Amino acid sequence: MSFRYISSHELVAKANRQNFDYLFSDDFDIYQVVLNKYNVDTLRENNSGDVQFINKQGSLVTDTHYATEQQFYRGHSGSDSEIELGGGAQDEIAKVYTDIKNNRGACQMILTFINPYSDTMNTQGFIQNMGVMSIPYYTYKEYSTFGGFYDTKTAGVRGLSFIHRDNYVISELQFDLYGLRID
Amino acid sequence: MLGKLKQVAQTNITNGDTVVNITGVSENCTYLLIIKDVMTTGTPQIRYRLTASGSPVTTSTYEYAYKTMINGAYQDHHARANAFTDSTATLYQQDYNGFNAEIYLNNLYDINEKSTFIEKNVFIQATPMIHNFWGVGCETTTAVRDGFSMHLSTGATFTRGQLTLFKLVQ
Repeated sequence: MSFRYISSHELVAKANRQNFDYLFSDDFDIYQVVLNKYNVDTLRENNSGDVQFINKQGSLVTDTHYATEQQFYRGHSGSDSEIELGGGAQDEIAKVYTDIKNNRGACQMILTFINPYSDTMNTQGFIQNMGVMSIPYYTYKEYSTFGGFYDTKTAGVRGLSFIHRDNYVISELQFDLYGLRID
Repeated sequence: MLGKLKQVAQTNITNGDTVVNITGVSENCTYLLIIKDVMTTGTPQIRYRLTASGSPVTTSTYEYAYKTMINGAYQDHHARANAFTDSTATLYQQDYNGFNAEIYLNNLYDINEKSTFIEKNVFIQATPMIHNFWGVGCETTTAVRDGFSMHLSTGATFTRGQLTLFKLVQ
């Protein structure tokens, strides 16, 4: 088997930010994070969080040297929308949409990382996210995004950080980590 | 990309290559092609073909449709029908450390079905401007294909990169 399960991770305690260190190493060039759960405690339209990197020194990377692009779709009669997210100088690699768990609020996401641990190659990758809004009168309002990211610097990273954009508390988060083995 | 994968072939690009082929499709199943860290001279477009008996098929039998996402510039739908003589996809200049893509290949070895593919790729220009294409392509005729081929739109050459072909095992 060339595509290998590495580990599973979940929220330690409810918090606005949760870091997951030591995910990436030189064992693989390509990693995939399958985010199975991501919920918050507070109801909001367009409830969303950011995904950021942790560098090899264990520090959060907040410099704006990421180029990202996500196509965002929101489906609901009367308020369908399609917008472009991202830019050439972002401090996050991806945006993730979700909501509280009650009344269908849900989130799943797949992030693919190419060369995350390399100090000589730029980290880049793909984003796929679906979320469901919980607001009762917006039933069946769903989010879908897809796109990519590119780190314009070549310093390797070893971890991920999830933070809610509106200082809300992340109440549930779980993901599995895989590595694509290329022999 | 989840699934049980078996690596079946790998091609390492040699500096100066103008065409890069990878073969190894030998069964009627889905294959995953990982294109990694490809660089070229100049600012060419990277173009795709499929192979038959190891050689690129150059007849005008390809169609494709892409969503192109480029920050700071434009987002566009990018579609081509049979008028294009060779390419299933066109890509643009890459700087920094290369072009990467993930491509699922379907029905290549089935003589009764049209070959199709689903792709996403990412690369960047010096601005920096991310380029991110998501799309699909197919052949308009049914035939057996055994691999994948890349070439460039101008007189440029490949300088490095790697193609790895996986078979999705049931």
